[in-house]
Amino acid sequence: MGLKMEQYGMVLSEVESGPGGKRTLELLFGPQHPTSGHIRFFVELDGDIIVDIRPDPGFVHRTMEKLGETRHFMMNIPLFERLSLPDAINVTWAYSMAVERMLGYDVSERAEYLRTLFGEMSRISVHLYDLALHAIMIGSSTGFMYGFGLRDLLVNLWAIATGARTTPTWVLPGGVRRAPPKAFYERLAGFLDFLDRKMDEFYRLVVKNPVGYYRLKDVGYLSKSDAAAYLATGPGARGSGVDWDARRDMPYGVYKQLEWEVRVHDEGDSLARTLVRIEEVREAARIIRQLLKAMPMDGPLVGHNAAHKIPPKERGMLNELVRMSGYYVTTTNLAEGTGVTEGGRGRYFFQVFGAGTERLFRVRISTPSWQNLRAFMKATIGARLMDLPAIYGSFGFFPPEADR
Amino acid sequence: MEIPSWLLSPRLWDFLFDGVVSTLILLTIVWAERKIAARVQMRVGPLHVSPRLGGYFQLIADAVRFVMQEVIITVDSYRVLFVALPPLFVALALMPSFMVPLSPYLALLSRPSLHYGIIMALAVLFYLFIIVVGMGWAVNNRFAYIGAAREALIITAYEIPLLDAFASMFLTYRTIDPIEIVAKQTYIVGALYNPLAFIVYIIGVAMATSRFPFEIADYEGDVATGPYSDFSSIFLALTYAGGIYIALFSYSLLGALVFLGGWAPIAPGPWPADLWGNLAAAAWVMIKTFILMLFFVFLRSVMPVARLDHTLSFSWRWVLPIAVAATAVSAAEYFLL
Repeated sequence: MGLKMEQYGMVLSEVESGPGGKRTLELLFGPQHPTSGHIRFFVELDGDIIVDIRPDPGFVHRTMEKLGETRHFMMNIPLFERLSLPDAINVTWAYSMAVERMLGYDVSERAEYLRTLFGEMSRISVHLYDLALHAIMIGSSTGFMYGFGLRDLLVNLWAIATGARTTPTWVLPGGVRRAPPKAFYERLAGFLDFLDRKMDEFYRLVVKNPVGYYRLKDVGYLSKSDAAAYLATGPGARGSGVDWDARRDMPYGVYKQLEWEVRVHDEGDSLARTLVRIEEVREAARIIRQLLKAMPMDGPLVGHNAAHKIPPKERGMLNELVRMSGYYVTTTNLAEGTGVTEGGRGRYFFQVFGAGTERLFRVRISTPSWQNLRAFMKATIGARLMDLPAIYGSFGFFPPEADR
Repeated sequence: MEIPSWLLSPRLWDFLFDGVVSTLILLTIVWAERKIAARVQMRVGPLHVSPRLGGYFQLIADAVRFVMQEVIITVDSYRVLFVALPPLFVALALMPSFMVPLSPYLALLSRPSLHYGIIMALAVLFYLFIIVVGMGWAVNNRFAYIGAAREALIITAYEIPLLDAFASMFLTYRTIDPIEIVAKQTYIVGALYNPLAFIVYIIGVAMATSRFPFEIADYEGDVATGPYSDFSSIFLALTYAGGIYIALFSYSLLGALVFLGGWAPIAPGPWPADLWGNLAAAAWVMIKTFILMLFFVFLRSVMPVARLDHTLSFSWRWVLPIAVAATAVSAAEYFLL
């Protein structure tokens, strides 16, 4: 796939003959492009129709799986958080679940509730991020500002609770790092009301808007059997009628005790995927409201097995700040563990193998954007060139997560 | 003291007024676009450069930055066209505003050719965006090629309905002379005589000047600003950041004269015939132009971008029949009024 310098010049001398003798134009929708993200696509165009698209990922490959073997297993938490920063909690939750299953740690009840609360906030955060990018990809800068403006309020809530806006680094194997103060709960309810109002406005401005609606309707069709065959996940699958959600089908957290629904649409086009995202934001707000009523306000922040490792004098401070010393003297055992969570973009899968030292032997990661890449390619073939940003945003494709 | 006659010449004052006011309007409208979009989007917009004026001088700062940036002429481009077309674009974009009168006496052209002022202005404006196709050719990369092809398709889509809208108004007024056209509008402006023509005019101008939802040829989303993609510094200021708004100004000036009543006064009685009266009439025309431009730039905040084939089919399937209907309405008015 290399490109010679003289090939980048005038177009008419470079059209290739596709099968059947058609002339196609190869477009490098490359990383230096306002809409492509950190990935290059080789797009073959026949007029305005995309006849073939080949992805060229790897521009943001940060060797995360290898780095996971070179550091203490606790230091992997901020590392894997950077897989998908908008969805920080759900990514680190999957890793923490995997490590807990490997080490045999249990999770305290208060930590489960807190993790679920923050996980749903993380889902709202990544949906707002994806909807905002999708909006600006189809041209609506107002949608972009709405998404990021709302997300700004949410990350300020995270700053109150964990000390950092976008990198909370909050989930530990066995529990969570801090309990949020009272100011957090007071502001969270107000934020949810504001969010509901503004999501209605966003929907009317971008999706129900006739221009936006026809930009998304019947664009990038992915049938249900294709979505299942190409292992699409998240809104990419649920927008095509595949009714699978790790929160319900491989249960974790306290989702089983709450009343919520999995949002599925059957149409399979970009509009269906976008609607799944918008409705999941509302469902997440609903879950958070139920959690706020049922949240235990005191109790240990880490499970018994993890707390046992912390020296008794520091165990008293457990609820204000989990001291790390107990974790740092823990070595990994020669076992494996897997963790699956449903992030906003799809399901995160971590499999860790212990090495007997404080480092892991192997970390295997499967991210939703990597899973969705093939389905995304399948949905784009046959669409028009101007549909590429619309389909890209509707799958919520995030190259740093796909490349790891 | 004797005032020399050339200082009182209507041509000089028309030229000065048009040049100065079009520059002011250009600065203000770009500032207004950013401010309006910001207020719709729950943010503040330009504020830092001149806080007490609400960030108005941000535009001057941007212009200075554009001028001081390194001029890059890409290796693969056609150099002569690359360098020559942007100034040609902005010159031709401003020319139509000099071809039409701004008040009963302020005009650059004199009577026999002023009669055809609007026709000449339209002719230049329809040619204008073919220069954009030329720029896409000059830039010589694939994205510019696709953007230029899109621009050519969109030109064919909006030209006929827009021309038809103006032709309808000529039918309604029974004349093509701009001064007589304005004289025939009092409180019932052209938009009220023939609303269909006005709607076609709005859609046509939005398509012509790449206002959202029709920012398709220079769409940032997939052709990376298309024909303007390899231009930077002064070239970009002349085309993407300035020239398109000047074309919008010229279109809006024509619209203000034909559809919004031109210099028709709101208080009864004609404008005073001295210099200040004519300048006031010209200022009134410019205010109407500015209001029309405000509507076009407001569209940026509320509309996504339509797809190319949707736009073309919308134009041929809906806008053209509405333009024909506008002509029918005008023909009825020609015989009945």
